[in-house]
Amino acid sequence: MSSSPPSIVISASGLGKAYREYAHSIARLGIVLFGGSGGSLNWIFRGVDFEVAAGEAVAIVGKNGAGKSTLLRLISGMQSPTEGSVKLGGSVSSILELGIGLHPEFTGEENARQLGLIQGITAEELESIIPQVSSFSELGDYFYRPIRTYSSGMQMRLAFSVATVRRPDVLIVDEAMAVGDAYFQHKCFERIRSMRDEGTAILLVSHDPTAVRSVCTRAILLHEKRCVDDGPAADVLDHYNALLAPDVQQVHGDRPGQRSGNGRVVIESVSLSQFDAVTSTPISGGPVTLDVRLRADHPVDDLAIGILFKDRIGNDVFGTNTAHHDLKLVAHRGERLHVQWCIDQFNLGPGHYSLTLAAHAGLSHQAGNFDWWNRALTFQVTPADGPLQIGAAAMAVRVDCFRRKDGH
Amino acid sequence: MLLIYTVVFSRLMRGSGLPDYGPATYTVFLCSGLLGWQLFSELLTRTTGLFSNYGNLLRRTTVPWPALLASEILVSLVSFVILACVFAIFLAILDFTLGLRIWFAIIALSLVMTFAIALGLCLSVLQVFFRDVGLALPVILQIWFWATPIVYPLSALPDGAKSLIIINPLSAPIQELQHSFMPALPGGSSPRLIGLAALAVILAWFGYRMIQRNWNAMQDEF
Repeated sequence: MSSSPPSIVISASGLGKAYREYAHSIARLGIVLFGGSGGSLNWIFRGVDFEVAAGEAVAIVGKNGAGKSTLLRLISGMQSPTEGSVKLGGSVSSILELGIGLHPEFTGEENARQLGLIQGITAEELESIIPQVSSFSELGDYFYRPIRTYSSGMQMRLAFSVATVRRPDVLIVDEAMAVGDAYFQHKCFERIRSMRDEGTAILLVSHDPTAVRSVCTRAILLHEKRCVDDGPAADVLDHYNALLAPDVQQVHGDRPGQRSGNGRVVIESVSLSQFDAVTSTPISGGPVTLDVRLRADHPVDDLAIGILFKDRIGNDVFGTNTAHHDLKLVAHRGERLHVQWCIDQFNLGPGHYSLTLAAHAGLSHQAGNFDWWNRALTFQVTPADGPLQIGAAAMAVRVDCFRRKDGH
Repeated sequence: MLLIYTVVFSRLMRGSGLPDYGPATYTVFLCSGLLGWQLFSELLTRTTGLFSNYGNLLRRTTVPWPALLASEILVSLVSFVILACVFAIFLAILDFTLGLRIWFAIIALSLVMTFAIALGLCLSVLQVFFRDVGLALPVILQIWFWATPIVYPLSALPDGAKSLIIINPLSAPIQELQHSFMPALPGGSSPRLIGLAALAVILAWFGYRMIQRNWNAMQDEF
C-alpha cells in the first residue's frame, strides 16, 4: 500500500446539461442546416461539482427524471456537457441502459467478442477473456444462443460480465442491475466491492438503499436541477427519503434532510430510558421505554407515530408504528400527546444505533407526512453480562453438546 | 423484375431510338443503367441511415463516425461487385466487349458513388432530428428512379420532358454508363458530369460541416 493520498480519477466541475427546445421544427431545420443558436434551453441540472478518488464508491440518488442517468452519460462521454467539464484519469467501463450495444441476432459469445473489441481488447486477450465471461455470467448453453432469446435478466448478466471482465479505473453502473435475480445481484455487488477495494472508482445509480449502503460510502443527491447534497451515504439517503415524502413544506433541523414534514403535528421531544433513568447507553436485552411528546397544531383524526431503529450505516433494524398496534390516535388543535413505547426486551446487539421518528397519517408516511425526524436520538447499546456476541440482533441462546452413542 | 422490365419495355421501346445491338439490346441497356442506379440507391439509403441505424452502438460507446461510414460503403460495394460480376458473365455470354470504354464506366460509377455518399451525409444528419426523412426516402427514390433514363432512353421522350430529365443530376452519369456499353447512345456531356462532380464535392463538404456542427446535439438524440 502506498502512503500517498489516492488520486482523483473523476473530476466534474460546474457540470450542466440542457436540451434545446424549439417552438417550431422549421426553426430547428434552419439551425441543423446552417448553424447558429436558437430555441430555449431546458436545463436538466446545473453547477454539479464533485471529485471521486480511486477506490471510492459514490452513489447518485434522486427522483426519476432528476438527471442521474444523464450525469452518468456525461461522465462516460456518450453525451457532451452544455457547460462545465469532466476530467477522467483512466479507463472507463460502463453498464448503462439494458441491452444497449447488444445485437439481437448474434449469440452471447459473439456479442461478448464484439463488445470486447470495442473496448480495445486484443484478439489474443479475448481468447482468455471469453471463458471468464461465460463462467461469470453462468448463462450455460444460452451463452451460445442469440440474444433475442434472452430474458432481460440474462442480458444484464452478459452485459455486466463483459463490462467487468477487466478491472477499469472507473466503473459506471446504472440501474440495470435491478433486473437481475437476487443471486446474481449479490454476485455483482461482490465483484463491485472487490474492484473498489483494488482501487476502481465506482459510480452507482440505484433506488435500492440497501444496495447503495452495501457498496457506497458516499452519495450525491440530485434534486430540482441541482446537486443538493454530497456526503456520507446514510445521511444523503435520509435526505432523499425526506424528499420522497409528499407535502413537504419545510425542512428544518441541524442538517438538510434530518427533519421534514408539513408541521400539522410536531414531535417536541423523545427520550429513551432504562430502569427509570434516561440513558444513551442502554444494556442489550434489558427493558427500555421510549417517551415521545407531540403537539398538534391542527386537528388530525388518523395520526400514527412510527419508530425506526437504524444501525450505524443506516440499515433498518427494527421499525413499527402505532397504527400497526391498533392504537387509534386523534388529536385536537393545540393538544399535547404523550406516546409511550414499552419494549420488554431490547434485543439489539451491542453497537451504535439511531432512532428515527415519524408522525404521519394512516399506515405509512407516504400518505401524509406531519413530521419526520431522522436521527432524533443516537445511542450505544452496551453488551449485557454473558457470552460475547456480534451483530445487530441479540438472541437468547443456549448451546449444548451431546455425545453420540450410535456412531461407529 | 428484370424479366418483367425486359419483356414489357423491350416491346414498348421498339422504335424509341435505341440502337440495334442484336436481340439482347434492351436487356444490356437496362442492366447498364440499373447497375449505376443500384449503387446509388443502396449507398444513399445506407449513408442516410448512418446514425439512426447505429444508434444502439453510438449510445453505448464513443465510436468515430467515419469508421461507421467506411463499413457502410464497404458493404454497399460488396453487393455492387456481386451484381457487376453477374452482369459481366451475361455480357461475356452475349460476346459484348467494352474495351477501353470501361474507363468511362468506371468514371461514371465513381461519380454516382461520390454523389450518393455526399447527399447521404447531409440526409443522415437530418434523419437524426427528423425521423420522417428515413420514411420518405424510399418514396423519393421510387420517383427518382423513373425520372432517370434507366428503363427508357432519353430519345424516347418528347422534347419538353427531355429538358426536365436533364436537370436530374443522376441522368448524366447513367447516360455515360449506357454510352460506355453502347457507343451509339449519347453519353452524359462533360459539362454536366463536371457539374455533378462539383455538386458532389459541395454536398460532401456541407454534410461534413453539418455533422461537425451538430455532433453534440446529435449525441443527445441517439
